[in-house]
This record gives sequence, C-alpha cells and structure tokens, in this order.
Amino acid sequence: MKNAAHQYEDKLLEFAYGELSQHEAEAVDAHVRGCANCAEALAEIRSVRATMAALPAEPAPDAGLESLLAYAAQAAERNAAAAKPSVSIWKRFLTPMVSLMALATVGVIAWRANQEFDTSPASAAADGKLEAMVEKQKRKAQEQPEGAQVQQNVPADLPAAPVVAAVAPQVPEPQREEKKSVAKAEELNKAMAGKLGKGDAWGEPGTAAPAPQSVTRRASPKTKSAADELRQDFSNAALRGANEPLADDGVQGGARAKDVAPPPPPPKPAKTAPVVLSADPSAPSYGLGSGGGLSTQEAKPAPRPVEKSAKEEESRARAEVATAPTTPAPTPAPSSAPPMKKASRGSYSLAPLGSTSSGYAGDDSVALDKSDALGVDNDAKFAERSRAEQRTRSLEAARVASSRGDRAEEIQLLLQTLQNGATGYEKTEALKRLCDAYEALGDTARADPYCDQLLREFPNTVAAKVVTERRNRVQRAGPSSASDARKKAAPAEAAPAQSY
Amino acid sequence: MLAFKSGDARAFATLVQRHRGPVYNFILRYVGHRQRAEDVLQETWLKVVRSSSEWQPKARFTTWVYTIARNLCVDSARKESFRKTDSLDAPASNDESDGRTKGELVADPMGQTPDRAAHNTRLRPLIEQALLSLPSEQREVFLLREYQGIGFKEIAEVTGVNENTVKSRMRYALEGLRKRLGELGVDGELINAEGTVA
Repeated sequence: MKNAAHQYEDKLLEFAYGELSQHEAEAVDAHVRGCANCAEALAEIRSVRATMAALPAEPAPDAGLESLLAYAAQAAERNAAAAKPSVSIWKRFLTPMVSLMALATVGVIAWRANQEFDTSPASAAADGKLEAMVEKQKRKAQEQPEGAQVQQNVPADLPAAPVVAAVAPQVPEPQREEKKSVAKAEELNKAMAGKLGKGDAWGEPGTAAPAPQSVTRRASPKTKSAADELRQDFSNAALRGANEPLADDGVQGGARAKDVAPPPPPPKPAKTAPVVLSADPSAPSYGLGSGGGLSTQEAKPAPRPVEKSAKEEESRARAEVATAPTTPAPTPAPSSAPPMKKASRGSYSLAPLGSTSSGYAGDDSVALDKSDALGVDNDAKFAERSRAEQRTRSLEAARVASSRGDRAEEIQLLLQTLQNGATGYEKTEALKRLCDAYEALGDTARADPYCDQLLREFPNTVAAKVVTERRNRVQRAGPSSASDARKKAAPAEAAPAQSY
Repeated sequence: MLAFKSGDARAFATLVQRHRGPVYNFILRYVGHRQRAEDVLQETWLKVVRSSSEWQPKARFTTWVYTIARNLCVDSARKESFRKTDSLDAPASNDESDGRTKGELVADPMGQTPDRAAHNTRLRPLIEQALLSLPSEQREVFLLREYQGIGFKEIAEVTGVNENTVKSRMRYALEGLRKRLGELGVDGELINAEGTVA
C-alpha cells in the first residue's frame, strides 16, 4: 500500500508541468514544502526542464512550401468539387424519379385511353364471343314465330344488359335451358346493379357488357342505319376498314365460299333487318377486336348469314351521294340488288388493316385521313371517297349477282364500277368479270373488248393468264366450236377468276 | 481544417503557418537530421492534405498532425536504422567543421550572433546529444510534452499508449536527461547563471 508521500511523488510530474487542478496543485505544493524527498525530486525535474529549455526552436525551412500550398489548393478544389455532388447526387436521383413518375402517369393515362381502342386478343375474343351469342340468338329468332322474334331483338343470353331481365321471362319454351344461364346472368347483373346503384355499371371498357346496349340502340329503326352510325363513331374508326372488303378479300372469301361454305340462303330483308344489323360485327363495342373475333369465326364451316337490308343499303348510298355535290353521276346500288353476303368476312382480320396497297383503294379507309378528323374535307376528296364507296359496293354486288347467276345485273354493276373510275385491282376484277360474263352469255363480240383491255392493261395478272389460256383452248378447239367452248370455259373459270 | 475540407485553400495556408515550425522542430529533434527532418516535414503536410477528408472535428488538429508526424518519424528512423550512418559524435570530415563533431554541425545553424553562436556552440550540442541519447519512445514523449506543450493524455493518443505509460516514459526521460546532462557537465544552475535560458 502506498503511503501519502508516494501518492504526491507520483503527482510531482504533473505538478511540474501544471496539469493538476488547482486543488490538487495546492495539496502537492503543501506536501512538497514539508517533504524533503518530494522537494528534491521536484527540483530535479525543474532543473532538467530548465536545461532542456535552453534548446532554441529552429525555423522551418521554406523549401517545398510553395509546392505544398499549390498541392493544397488543388486539393481544396477537389474538396469543393466533392462537396457539390452531395447536391448533384440528390438531383441525379430526383430528376430521373420525377421523369419516371411523369412517364408512368402519361403511360397510365394513355393506357386508360387505349382501353376504348383495345385491339388485344382478349378483347377480340370477347367481341367474337358476343358476336357468336348474337348470331346464335338470331338463328333461334329465325326459327321462332314473328311475335317472339320481336322480343328477341335484345339478346337475351347476354348477361350484361339490364334490359334483358325484363325481356328474358318471355322467352318461349325451346329456350328454357338457355334461360337458366340467363337467369344466372340476371342475378349477377342485379347484384352488380344493386351494389353500384345504376344499370350501366357494366359499362366497363373492354368488357362485352356495353355491346348489347349499343346493339339494341343501333337496331332501332328510328335511328340512322348502323353502318352510317358506325362511320360517325370515331371510336370504331379501325372497324371501318375491317367491315369493308379488303384488297384480297374477294380472293380469300370467294375461294373459301367455293371450297367450304355453301351459298347462303336468300335473306329475308325486311323484318329481320334489326336483328341482322345487331348481329353485324360492326356493331360498336368498346373493344376494337371485332376483326380478330371475325377471324375466329371464319373457321366455322357454317356460313354466317349476316345480312343487311337492301333498303338500308340504298338509303345509305343515297345519303352519302347527296352529301357529295361534285360527284358526277352517283349511281346508287340498285334497289333490286340482293343483300350482300357476309361470307367473305371470314377473311377479315386486323392484320390487313394496316395495308395501304392500291388494292385497298376501294375501301372505306380512304375516308380515314386526317382531314376527316380535322373536319377540313374538301369537295374533291369527298367525291373521290363517294366514288370509291360506290365502286366497292357495285363490285361487291356484282360478285353476288355472279354467284347468283344473274349475268345481266352483274354486267350492269361491273360497268358502273368501271364508270366510277375503277383502277388497279378493282379494274382488273371488273374487266375479268365482264369478259367472263359476256362469254357466259355467248356475246363474244362484247366480251372481246374487255378481254383485250384486260390483256393489254394487266398482262401479268392471273386473270389475264386465265383469259389467254381460255382463248388458246378455244382456238385449238376450232373456230366453229369456239363459242361453245367459251361458254363452257367461262363459268368454269368464274371462280378462279376471283384470284385477280 | 473544416474550412479547408470545404474547399478553402487559404485555411490550409493558415494551418501551415501556425503549425509548421513546431512540427518541424519536433521532427528535427526526433530524427536528429536536418535534411531528413525537412523530408519528413514535407511528407507530413502532404499527408495532411491527402488525409484531410479523414479528419474528424472531434479530434484536435494538433493531436492529428503530430500523430502523422510521429508515425513518419518512426518510419524514417526505421529506414535509417538499415543504413550505415555515421554517428553524430564522429568528427566531421569537411574543412568548415573546425574540429567539431557532426552533431555540433547539425545543431549549429548559420546566421547567429557571435554571443549566441558561442553559447550554442558550447551548450546546444550538449543538449542535442542528451536528447538523442534517449530511447525514441522516451524522446518522443519528452519532445511532445516539453517543446510542443501537448498534455500527457494527448501524447497517449499520439503515441498509441495509455497515459500512465506516457508518464512513466516521461519520468524515465527526465531521469535519463538529468544523468546525461550531468555527464556532459551541463546543469540547470549553470544555464541559469549564464542567463541564456530563453
């Protein structure tokens, strides 16, 4: 155990260098005064310190000072630059985040907007499903008495329309099984209506629900024809092209009609018209997948008796011609023209919609330019559009007449097509059909000019080759039997003549 | 130092102006060689610049810079120990030595008054010899406490040992210096009598 003297002795060093507190220093000082050993030890420390303090301080050399300060200045600049990135790093992260958020917002808005123009396969399938249901309903309506048919203008098997709830109980006996599914749909519909408090709660874009409502609305005879309304429906702009024959539509559709589908039965124009129109895939829906839906439908072997009434077709043509004052000689489709078959719709798909080939000239897509959207359509454009529509209609009617065997009407329609300034594919088809039709009638004198024109203007087409081969065969058969050979050859080649 | 870290070069100049002399004296007394002391000094300040981003405000700049200087001195002494060097007690070989030892030449800068030079010629080499006779761990503690005025606690931080060890080394250093100065014929009373103590 240390005694008190040793304790102070340990503190002499700190006392000598003044590192003790005042209290401790006073205590040590008092002890040193009374302790000879501690006083002697403290004196030795002070003596050495006094001796060593005689060593003077050396001035630091200036060598290297400038370079050191220059180096320090550079380092200071680096430090200053390094201090800035703390802010710029924040900006570096903040700016992309804000940009991403803005992009995401725009993307979401665009996505929501595009839902109305949904062309996805899912939407197409939904539309196809709707179409199939409507068609099924239509077939049943045709089988049923007239009174019941009126009630079925509204597709009862569609679950979405609240109107169906009132109509469905009147569905006659044969549809009992189907009625069960309708009842399920009704329950769901009511539940949704109760939850949402309004009947149009199903009006979600992209669902099939709104379609029946619009179908019912468009089927009303008080309103404009469905086709006209469709043209004014901007949201269905893409469907305009899909609902009209495409460039190679006649080829595929015709071939398919020949290979697979038997010719459809003659339509019933008047009373079934609303239902027929409602079955039209051009009926507006919130999805633009109708084209895809039609493509799905085309695989079905049974023909689709989708028809339009001749009256409506005629009124539509008249209305459009009346709005085109500069049209030289608007020739509406003849009232006796049969309703156009929609079998060729089987070839419709979304893919050709982007096509801008000349064969597409007769399509309604002519009307789908920016001037229409901006409302700055001029007379020339409008007239050209009207002529294009007339050409398309007359050519389509000519096809129908040809399949029906009505050569006279076919010739008349084809001549109208040519008069309306058919070019390209339309002209080729019109010339070939005229050549075939006159040959079929045995009027070679009238057939030859068109055949010659076809060979002259479109020598490399399939149609020209067919005509050339036919002429060669006739020449080999001999001049006497030429007309007979032509008569036999022409109908046989009528079908492949569609592959112009 | 904070100002220099934020990019103020003039702040560093101020630091150099304030601490360069004491740091140089510490290095010079530690290594006992003027040229090596200048090199270590330059290296010390370069390291201060390079390591400025590592400096923390909680540590005193003095403690930090002496830690750097001390470590460099240790490194320099270690390198020097591998070289074959002449003793400061060995006679100088050049003509200007006038028979003095190398230690006397090192400790005898130019430009001194005759009286001061005469005094230093007699006393300073002895003090230098006494200092250099101490072991480095005692010498560094004595230099830091006696000439740089750094407390024992901070010396413990600089040298990396505890405070009691520092005090113990200080006692040994004082005892060793007293003995060495006695051997050299120098004591405090003589110095006080000559009145040359600064």
